[in-house]
Amino acid sequence: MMESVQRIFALARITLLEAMRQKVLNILILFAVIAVGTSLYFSTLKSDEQIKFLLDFCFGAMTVFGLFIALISTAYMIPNELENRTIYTILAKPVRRSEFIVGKYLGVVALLGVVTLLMSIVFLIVLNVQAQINIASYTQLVEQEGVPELDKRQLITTNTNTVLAQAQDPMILQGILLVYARLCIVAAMAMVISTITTSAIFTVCTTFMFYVIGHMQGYARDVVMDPTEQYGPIQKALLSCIAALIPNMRSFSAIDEMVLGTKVTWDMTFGLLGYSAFYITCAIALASLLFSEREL
Amino acid sequence: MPPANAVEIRGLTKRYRLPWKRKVLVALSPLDLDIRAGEVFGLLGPNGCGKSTTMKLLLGLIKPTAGEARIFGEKVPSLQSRRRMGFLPENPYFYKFLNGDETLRFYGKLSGLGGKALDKRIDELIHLVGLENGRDRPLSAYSKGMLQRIGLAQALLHDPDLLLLDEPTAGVDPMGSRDIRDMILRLRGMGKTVIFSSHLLEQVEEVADRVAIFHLGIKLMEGTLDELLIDRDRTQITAAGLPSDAAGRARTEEALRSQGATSVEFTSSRRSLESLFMDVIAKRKAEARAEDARVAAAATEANSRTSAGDTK
Repeated sequence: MMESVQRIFALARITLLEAMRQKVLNILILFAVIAVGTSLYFSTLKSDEQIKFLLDFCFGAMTVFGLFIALISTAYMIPNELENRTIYTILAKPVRRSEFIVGKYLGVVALLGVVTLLMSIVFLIVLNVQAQINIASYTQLVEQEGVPELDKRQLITTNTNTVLAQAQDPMILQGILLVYARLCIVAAMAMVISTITTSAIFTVCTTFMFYVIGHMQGYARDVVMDPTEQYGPIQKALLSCIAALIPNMRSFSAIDEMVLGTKVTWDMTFGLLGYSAFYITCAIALASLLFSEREL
Repeated sequence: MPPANAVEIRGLTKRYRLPWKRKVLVALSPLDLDIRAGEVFGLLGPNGCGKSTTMKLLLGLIKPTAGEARIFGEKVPSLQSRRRMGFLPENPYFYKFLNGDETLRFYGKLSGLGGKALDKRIDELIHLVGLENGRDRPLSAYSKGMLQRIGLAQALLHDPDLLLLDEPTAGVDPMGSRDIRDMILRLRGMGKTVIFSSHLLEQVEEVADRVAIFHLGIKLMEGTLDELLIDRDRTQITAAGLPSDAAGRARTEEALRSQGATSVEFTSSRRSLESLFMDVIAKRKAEARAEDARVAAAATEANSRTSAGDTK
C-alpha cells in the first residue's frame, strides 16, 4: 500500500514539474494572471456595480483560462509520454496502469491548484484595491456634498461596511472552490478520452464538446426520468448515455448566482464538491480500466 | 528450488488487425523459447522481425493474441514478473529537465525504493555505469552514450535478475558501444540474465551465449554460437612465419594434403575494423598521456633549474 502511494506521489510530482516547464502552459498562466490583474482597468461602470463586475469578470477569466490549462495539460500528457517513450521505462517498473493514471491525474490536479491559487491571490488583491478606491471616492463625494458631520460619518461607515462586505464575502472562497472543482472535472473527462485516443487535438475538442453538453445534461436527465416524454428508443438511449456519462456542469451555475447576489450556502457548496469528487472517482476508475487494456 | 529457466515462452503470438486494409499483420508467429538463468541471449534480425514485440510482450506493454510467457516462474504480465525485470528501450528518452541523480531517484521510487537504501543504490549505479561527471547535469546536456548509461542504471535500480536491453548500442560511438558490451559481460559475471537485441552482429558474437534469429515475426534458428557457427568439415589454421612465396605455399599444401585435407586455401589473417579502431584510439590516448607527462616533467625541471639559479 505504502509503495503504491509512493509511486503515485512520484508520478504526480513529475507531472507537475513537467507541466510547469511547458512554455504553452506558462504563457497561459501568465495571461490568466494578467487578465485577472488588469480587470481593474476594464471597468467603466458605476462604483456600486464595479465589485459585481470584477467578481463576474474574474470568475469568468479563471474559468476560461483554467479550462484551457486543464484541457491542454491533460490532453497532451499521455501522447507526450508515448512520443518521448518515457512511458515504457515507467510501466516496465512494478507500476500498475491504474497507479500511472491516478498519479498523472493528481499531477494535473496539483497544477490546476497552483494556477487557481495564483489567479485567486491576484483576484483578491484586485478586489480589495477596487474596494479601497470605491470607499475613498465615496468618502470624497460625501465630504464635498456638505452633509452634516453626524450623517456624514454614518454614511461613510455604512458605505465602507457594504463595500467591504461585498469584497471580502466568504462566498468568494466558495466560488473559487467551485471553479477549481469544475476544472478538476474537465481534467478527469479529458483523462478518460486521452486513454482511448492518440490524438491530443481530438481529446481537447471532444472534452470541450462534452463540457458544453454538460450544461444541458440536466435536461437530458429530466427527459430520461420523465415517463410522459414521447421520445424514440434511440433518442432515449442517447439521452441516457449523456445523463450517465457527462457531468452536470449546469449545477455549477451557483457561481453565477453568487455574482448576482444570491446566497449560496456551504451545504450547497459541499454538495457540489462531493458531486465533483464522486464524478472524478468514477471517471478516473474508467480511465484506469480503459488504459489497462491499451496496447503501448 | 528456483526455476532453471529465467524465461519460458510457449506459443506466444502477436497479431494486429488492420480493419481499414482488411488484413492481419503478424508481428510474432507462435514462439517457443527458453532462456536459462544467468545466460546472455541475443535476439537478432532486421527491423520489424519481432524482437521488440517479444520484449514488449514480456513486459506486458502489449497483450499476446495467444500463448503465454513466464519470468522466473511468474506469469506475464504481473507486478511480480516486472519486479524481476529491468528494461532499457531503444533510444531511451527521459525527462530532460531532471539531472542524473533526480532521474534515478524518480525511477527508484517507482521501483519501491526509498530513503538511505535508494541513496546507496544510486551511488553504486552511478559508479557502475561511470556517470560521476553527469550526476548533477540535466539530461538535456547528456550525449547519446550518457543517455544509454543512465538508461542502463535505471534498468538496474531494483537489482533485477533479468535485463531486457533493446538495441543498447544503437547510435552510440564505438567507445561507448564497447563500454556497454563490457557492462553486459560484467552483469553476466554478477549472475544476471541478459536478453538483448542488436544489429551489430560482431558484438553479439562477442557477448552472447546463445542467439535466436528472427525474420518477419518467425524464429528461424536458435542455439549457442558454437552450434550455429562452427563448420565441422572445415578447420582454420592460423600460423605465423610460414613462407609466403609460391614454392613455400606448395610445400605447406602438400604437407596438409598428406594429412587428408581435400582442399587448402591460403588467406592472410585480417583483423576486424573495430579492433583496429580501438587500438588506434588507445595508442593515441597513450601517446597523449606520455606527451603530457613529458611536458609536465620538462616544466618541473625548468622550475627547479630556475629555483636553483635564484638560490645561487
